[in-house]
Amino acid sequence: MDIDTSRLSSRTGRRFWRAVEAHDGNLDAAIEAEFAAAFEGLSDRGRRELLKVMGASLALLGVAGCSQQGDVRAMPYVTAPEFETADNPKHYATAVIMAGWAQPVIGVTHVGRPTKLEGNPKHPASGGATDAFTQAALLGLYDPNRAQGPKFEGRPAAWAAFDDAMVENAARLNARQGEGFRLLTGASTSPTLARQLNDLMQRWPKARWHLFEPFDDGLRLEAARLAFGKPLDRRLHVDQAEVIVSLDDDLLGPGPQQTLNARQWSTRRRAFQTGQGQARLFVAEPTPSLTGAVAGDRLIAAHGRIPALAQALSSALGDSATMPTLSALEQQWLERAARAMKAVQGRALVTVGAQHAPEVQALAVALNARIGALGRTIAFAEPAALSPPDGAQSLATLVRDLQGGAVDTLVILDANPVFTAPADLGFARAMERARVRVYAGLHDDETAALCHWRAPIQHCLESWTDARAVDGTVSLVQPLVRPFYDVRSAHAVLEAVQGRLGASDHDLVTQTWRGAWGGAFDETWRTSLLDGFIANSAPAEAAVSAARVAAAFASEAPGLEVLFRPDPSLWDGRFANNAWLQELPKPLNKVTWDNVIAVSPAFAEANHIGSGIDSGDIVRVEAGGRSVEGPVWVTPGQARDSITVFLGYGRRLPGQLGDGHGFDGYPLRTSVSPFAVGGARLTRVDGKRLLACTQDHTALQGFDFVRTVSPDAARRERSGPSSASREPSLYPDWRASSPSWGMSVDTDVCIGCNACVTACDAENNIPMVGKDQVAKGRAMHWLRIDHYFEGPADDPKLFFQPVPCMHCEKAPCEMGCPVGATVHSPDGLNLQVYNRCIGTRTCSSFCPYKVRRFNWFDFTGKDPPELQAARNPNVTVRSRGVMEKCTYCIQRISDARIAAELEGRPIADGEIKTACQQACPTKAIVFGDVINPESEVSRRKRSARDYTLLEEVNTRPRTTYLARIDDGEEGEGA
Amino acid sequence: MAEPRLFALVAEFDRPEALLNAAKQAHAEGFTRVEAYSPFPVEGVSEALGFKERWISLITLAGGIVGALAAYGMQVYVNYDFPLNIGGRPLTPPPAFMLITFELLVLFSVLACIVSMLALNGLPRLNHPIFDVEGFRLASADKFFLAVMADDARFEPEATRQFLEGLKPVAVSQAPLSGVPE
Amino acid sequence: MARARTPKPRILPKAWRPVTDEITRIPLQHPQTRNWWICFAIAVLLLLTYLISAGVLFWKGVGVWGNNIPVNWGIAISNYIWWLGLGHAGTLISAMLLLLGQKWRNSLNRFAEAMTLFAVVCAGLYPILHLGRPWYFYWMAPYPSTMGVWPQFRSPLTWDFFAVLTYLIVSVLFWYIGIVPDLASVRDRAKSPGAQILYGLFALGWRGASRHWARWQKAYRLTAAIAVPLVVSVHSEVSLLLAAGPLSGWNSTVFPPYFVLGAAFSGFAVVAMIAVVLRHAFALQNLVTERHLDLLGLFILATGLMTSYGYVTEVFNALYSGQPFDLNTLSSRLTGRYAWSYWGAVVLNFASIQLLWFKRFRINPWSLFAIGLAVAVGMWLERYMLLTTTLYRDYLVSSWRHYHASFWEWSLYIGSLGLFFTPFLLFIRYLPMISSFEIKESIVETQEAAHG
Repeated sequence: MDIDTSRLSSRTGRRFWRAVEAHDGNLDAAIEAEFAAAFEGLSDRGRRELLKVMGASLALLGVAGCSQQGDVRAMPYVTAPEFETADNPKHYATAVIMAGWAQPVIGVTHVGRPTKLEGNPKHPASGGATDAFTQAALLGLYDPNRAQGPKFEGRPAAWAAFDDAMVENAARLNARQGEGFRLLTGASTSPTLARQLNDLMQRWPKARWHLFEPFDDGLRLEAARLAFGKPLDRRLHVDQAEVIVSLDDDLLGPGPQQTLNARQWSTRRRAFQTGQGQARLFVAEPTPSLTGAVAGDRLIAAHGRIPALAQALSSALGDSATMPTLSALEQQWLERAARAMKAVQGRALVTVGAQHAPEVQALAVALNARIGALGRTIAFAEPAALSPPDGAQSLATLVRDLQGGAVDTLVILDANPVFTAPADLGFARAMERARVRVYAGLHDDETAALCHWRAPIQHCLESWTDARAVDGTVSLVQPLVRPFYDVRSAHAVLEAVQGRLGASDHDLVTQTWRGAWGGAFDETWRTSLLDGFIANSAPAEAAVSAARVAAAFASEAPGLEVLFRPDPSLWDGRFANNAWLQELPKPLNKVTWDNVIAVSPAFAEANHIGSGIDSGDIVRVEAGGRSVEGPVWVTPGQARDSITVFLGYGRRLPGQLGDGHGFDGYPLRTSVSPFAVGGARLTRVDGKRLLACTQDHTALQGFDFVRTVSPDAARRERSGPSSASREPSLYPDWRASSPSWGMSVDTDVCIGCNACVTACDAENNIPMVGKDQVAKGRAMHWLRIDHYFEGPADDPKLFFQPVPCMHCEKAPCEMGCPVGATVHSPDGLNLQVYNRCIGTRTCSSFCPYKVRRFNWFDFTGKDPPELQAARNPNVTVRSRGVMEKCTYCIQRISDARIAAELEGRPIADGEIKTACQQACPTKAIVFGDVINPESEVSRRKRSARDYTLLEEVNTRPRTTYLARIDDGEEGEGA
Repeated sequence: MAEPRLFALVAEFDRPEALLNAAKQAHAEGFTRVEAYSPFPVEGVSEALGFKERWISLITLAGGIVGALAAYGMQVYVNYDFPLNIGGRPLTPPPAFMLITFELLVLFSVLACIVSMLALNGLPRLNHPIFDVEGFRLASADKFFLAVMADDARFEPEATRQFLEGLKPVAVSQAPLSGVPE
Repeated sequence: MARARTPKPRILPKAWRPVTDEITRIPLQHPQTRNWWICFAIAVLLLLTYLISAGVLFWKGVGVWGNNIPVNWGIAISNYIWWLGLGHAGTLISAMLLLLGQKWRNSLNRFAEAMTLFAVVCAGLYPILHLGRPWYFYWMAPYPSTMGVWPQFRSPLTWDFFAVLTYLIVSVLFWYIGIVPDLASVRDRAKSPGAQILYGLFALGWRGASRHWARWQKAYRLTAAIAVPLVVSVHSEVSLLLAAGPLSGWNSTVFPPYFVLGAAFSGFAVVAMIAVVLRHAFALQNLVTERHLDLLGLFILATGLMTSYGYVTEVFNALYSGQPFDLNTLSSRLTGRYAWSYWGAVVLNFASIQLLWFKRFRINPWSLFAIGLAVAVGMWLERYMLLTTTLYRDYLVSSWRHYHASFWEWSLYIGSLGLFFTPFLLFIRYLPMISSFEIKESIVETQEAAHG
């Protein structure tokens, strides 16, 4: 019995021991008794192996109790950021993989436990920013619902047994050159996987590899093929584009591209703020998106109108294509867009959403070429992602072969087709035809349930692999920690199914790059690990010249259309077990733990089912003879004839966190029309669903919480004091000494992406409270992003406003507290002293911003050991009955102060980055010393756009906002 | 059997006016250790017996002053003992401190007032020779008593009894000294 | 529990003896034993509900209530204000009228004071129960703690802590020294040695000596003189609990008088209800006469109208300021989700008392009782309205949210009625509920007046 007993020192471990002693100390016998079922039909070797396994999984029960070992071969980040703490956290440059794409991060580990992911500032694509998915990946690593060991037909098995079975199976396949062997993967950009696939194909020429990803850029490659004759990756240089015309392309929306695009867009936008050129954004879209929300000029256009608009734009810019008929609104919008584009010529960008027909996208490519944008705002390069033999048809082919009985062994690697595959293919039933079905994934999900073997794989934060970022740069992915669970790397599993055992993920990855680098390997490998990416590894931009593109489209069938969009929090559903994402308020409706069917206010009003529809009413959506039922959400800014179904919910994961929330929209989605289907019907069915929404009211109602200014007004420097201290006060000011912390939030670049909120969750051990509590109004997020709309609900302006604690200098909360549990610190922070708080909640009652959060129950005490292990040791875990709130990441402030004092120097400006600031892809949040006039934050507060939320209450907030610049219709002159 | 040592001679009346009149005469007669008992305060009796006292008012006032000073002092002290910036308010804002100052002023003065009243009255004292007087229990219902204490300088059992009977009481009875020190 | 009786002529009795007997007989041989036991059983059941609700609260946490952000104060705090309001009439009636030489008070002050005590207890427990960590409530008190931390004396809660504590202590003392002479009277009437000893102990050996009376009167009047401003200060400070915050609908200078008058208003209403019930249950018609009811009615009318003035001022201030947030709060009060509480308060507190302009409604016990009940409920609604309508729609539209009191909040409130009635029933059972010696005193004076 090889158990690292030190691992058993934890509570859980000991409890297990007691259970064992009950079986008079004979551990083997005990386990044998406990897991009798698992032993059936196992060889003796299998038995012994299984005991090992049990021992290992015993050991990891101790994970919360004691330190985890890092991988000895991993390379800590050398130039660790300034905020090194006493317990010397290690920083590793690595990457998180999202839908096949690398999201570069620097993983922070305390006593061997990863506790926070931060952007990699060196990385060309992210520049140190992250998105919400990346932040939440940390919780994904610790997810107690992950598959924790191999299973055979649903019962715990041993890897050895799996290996035996695979060797045996491989032997059969060898004989037939792999005929009947099929591999189905999700999207991937891993060079190592590519190499493995090559080997596989060489060994087994008759084997076949298929790929399915519910939301990918497949159609973009098609479009490139139409435009250039070969599939190419699109590379946007949004920072170069002074005018962007987006036809239903959610550039800034959730997805692998978000961080890069948002970062580049904000760069341009900030240049515009200081008067260098423009940063105008024209968006035509059927359903409100983050891009549409920040657009200066937004047109509500049904999905079916986009081709026409593309065509019209093309002809407006001098293409001979016939001008389609447009509505007056469309016409005016188009003219404004065309005029703006003409004004800047090559510094413009036209883009069409990946969910539109390749022809339409190709037209946009051609348009860009014509205005000379090619190579400036948009470029093309060899595809970074691996593309399967049959391209978009890959899955369909597999299903056909399955039904034809041509498939003997089906290996599904890191994909969940049973849940996500287009409904018309009938994948689930088809796959049962395969004789041997092997599933390798993170969770026991819908697909796993239908497979013989379940071979759980490692999370990217605990294994060796590699992947490309959206700009093509390769990141080497190194583990932050050894696996907690009894799992294997995907690469190793792929070897195993070919009957090749014993390969370690590290070897497989190094093997790839040895081949690539030859002699220079050691050096390159080392530097690449330290940097977190391989320098200049992105495929060069190809010199291309666009072909002519026929610009005549059959206009879509009229009537009600259904759009399919990935859920902003769960993406295609893969994050269903991630509480941070489940409880993350969706940017545009603030709903948590549920997905919705978005309909326009006009539609809801006019919809003659009784009295029209309210949010939460259950409706049935029928299209193409299929139907789904789900709660409706009346969405200002939605197109009258479009309804949006968000996919990814309605997971069937018995006993797991993600089970049963929301409704499954996939049954409505077919391979023919994967992104939109026309001729739909929506009928109200009985019932209403309680939706846990964190913001009940989004209409601005004439208040000035969010403000807009004209471009030229924005550039003036304010004369006189910052907005925070204009009102007179009865009380003399306390002398403020430097440093005196403050924050400035630029609502002009905030895209409401939630990266900051998730980063705050991770940094500050924010408890997740579950749907019921959120519905009661007890969500615990310290930082919330308020979403408002202004103007007519059918064509509103959309706003985002991040609201952390304002750290008021004349804080009403402090005055209200009878025990002095919330007081002001000399450096201007509004402190909350948890262990002094008795929970009178006066502070929250008196807080005009309602940013304080209360522990109504014991939200943290019953967390499983895995989640406790994920916590940031520098932040107190709050107990029942105390108030909590944003602290400006005081732990980071004190770390920096200590470091500075040790070196006898002042704290440099920008040395302290709050978690939210650090994650923000658009640098909307700036934190620093407001006394020092040279600090970034002081510069911002001097801007004429600087304003104070609820100035009239005169609480003198340290957090102020920069007004949004309206360069829409009014901004013509700018 | 031996005459028990006297505590007082007690005359019983059934009108407050009679009691008042009796008190006046006893005082005029020069008796100093005289006490009147009534079911409710009878206007003027205590004055008639020459009772004057301002202690209670003074002690109450003192209590109030002490309370106020203590309260304000405490609030100022703790704010210097552990100075904190509370919502940008001054360290010692008089308006905010006035309320507790007032409350403690009230509390201390009332406590002083009532405690001093009981103390000066020698209460609580559960037993007293006067309770042994025949029918004294009616002193809390509708009867009025005038007692001349045996330790009065001018007390002579016979003369005093005659004096009391001269006041036309309902009855005159004597309270034996039941071993309890006065 | 009232038994219909033919009303007696509305004058004070001539002799003292009947007064003594009538009042002292009740503690000594109770006339209403059966009915009393029924009421007592109900009260104890309610008290049990209270204990269970509090137990659940302590065990699970404040989360069992319906509170949330932004409405993190619910009916716990509005009940606190309401109960404390009821607790004001006793001392007011007793102390103020004593100083004003209003002899008619003597028939009411004793049980009014008792009512005050028990109401203050009900009120005082709420702020402790509503804490997130109730077991640390004593941190509000100044004591030399090992960490050298102190209460925060700028906080209205700290002010309340001192105010309520002071008020409780002073009310107990005032009530007790007032009852001592009557305890002596009961002691002297008691037959059983047990009763003699018990009442004897609490009578402190009172023997009605003239010097004692003189000092007693001085002390009693002094305490009364101090108690009146105390009463005013207590509810003023409670009002600051809201008014000190920056929220629209709270942050108003009218709050202190508004709250004090509202308190007196509800207090008098409840005193009237109790008076009506007691005089019928114990045939005290010749002690609590129609004149008393009449005067109570007038007091309710007067304080009620002043409270209504508070309503008017609130609306006026909002309109006059023209601040969007004030107007918003005003509109959500008049038309919002909780408009029922506002209009309920207006109808029950303003409309109902208009009847009191007519004497026949004032002297008719049951109409007076009904109006008293209406006012008690109306004032509850007002407190609830003040709390909820300000919090559920405060400044930022994004944080607007509704609040529904949970089962455990209601059960705790219902239970607190038991916390009030249990001791009150014990009081009317075992203590002289009317001040007999003061009534006798006033008989003398009326007679002297008669002789001229």
